Amino acid sequence: MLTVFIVELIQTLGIEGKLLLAQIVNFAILLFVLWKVAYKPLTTLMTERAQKIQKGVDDAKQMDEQRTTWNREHQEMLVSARKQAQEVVAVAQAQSAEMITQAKTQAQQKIDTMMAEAQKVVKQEQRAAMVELEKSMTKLVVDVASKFLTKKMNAKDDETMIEQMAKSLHS
Amino acid sequence: MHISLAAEVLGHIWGFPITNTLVTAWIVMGVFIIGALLLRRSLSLVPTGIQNVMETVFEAGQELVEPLLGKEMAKKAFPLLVTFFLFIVLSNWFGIFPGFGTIGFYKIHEGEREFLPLLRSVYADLNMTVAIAVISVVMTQVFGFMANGAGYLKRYFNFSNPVLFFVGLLEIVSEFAKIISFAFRLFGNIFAGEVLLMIVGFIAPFLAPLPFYGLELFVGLIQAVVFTMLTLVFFSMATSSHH
Repeated sequence: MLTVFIVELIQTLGIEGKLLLAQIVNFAILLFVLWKVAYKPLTTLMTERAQKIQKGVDDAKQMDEQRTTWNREHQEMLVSARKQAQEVVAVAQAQSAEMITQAKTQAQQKIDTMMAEAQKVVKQEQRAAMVELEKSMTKLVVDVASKFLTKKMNAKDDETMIEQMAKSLHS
Repeated sequence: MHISLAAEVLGHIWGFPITNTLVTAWIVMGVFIIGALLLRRSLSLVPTGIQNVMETVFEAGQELVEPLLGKEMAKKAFPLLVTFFLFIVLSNWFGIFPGFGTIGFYKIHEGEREFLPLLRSVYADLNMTVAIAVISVVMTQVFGFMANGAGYLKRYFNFSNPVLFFVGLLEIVSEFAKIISFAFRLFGNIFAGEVLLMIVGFIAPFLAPLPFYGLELFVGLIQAVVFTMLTLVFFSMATSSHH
């Protein structure tokens, strides 16, 4: 009685073994095709992209770290370079100051020697002039004396002689 | 107006009955396969168009499935769940197209002139709903065994004490009840929707059916979600080792 009812119910509802099986197969085919054609490539692609993005992020992080290191090194180099430059400048300044003082002393010394030499020359020339003067004076005195002694002098002779003497003195 | 619970048989090929739901199922399958092929051809690392949509669906789905099944099981079960969802929702929406239930031909059956619609919503046929219900329940057992090994049998045959033994019997019954509830829930909703649209269209052909079309779109989506979520929950229950 119950089985008859169930069979009738199934017939009324249109359930049929063949069709049921066909639909199961249909769904299985659809699942297989979608899995093969769509899901698998899509998931692979999504994983690949996720990995790529992860790699990009990691790379960026690494580069950031690198940049920080470089920055620090750069800063350090700058500081040391500045220090070196300061040292060089200090040394140069010291050297130049020394050179200036040296030059000054040398110049002073040179001036002093030149002055001394010049004074010496002047003195020598003075002395020479004095000697010359003495000589001419002596000669003059001798001349005058000889004139006086050898010649009787009149007023006119006296005058000309004086003139002559003056001339010779001038020359 | 003729309303039949069973899908109409259009003809026979080598003794195999071809029903209008089978034809519609093939059409929907064709749409899916062509869509999948097109998708595969346009796949690129920088997503565009339909790939974006599919990726969004996939990400959302995976986020839903992974906490319930665990990463390994989720990977295995996810394609099945997505296929359930997509096939049900597209089939349901497909059944709303004009022409379903109205385009057909007349056939003389036992002396009576009978109208045979060429197309009928896929899930307005118990064969289809029972088919996916069977797949769902069978796959639940498969995943149960995959996760727990032979220990999964303890769920049904537990001789350690009388209470658990009785619970095991109830579990066996409930597995069959699942098939029936899955199948009739989906069938009832979609078939009722078809009949509703037909009747409203018959009474007031213009404008009046519009809200019902909107309702049917919604019902089609909700039924797909319900079926998929229930399957997911059963998978989760089968894969967790709570014994």
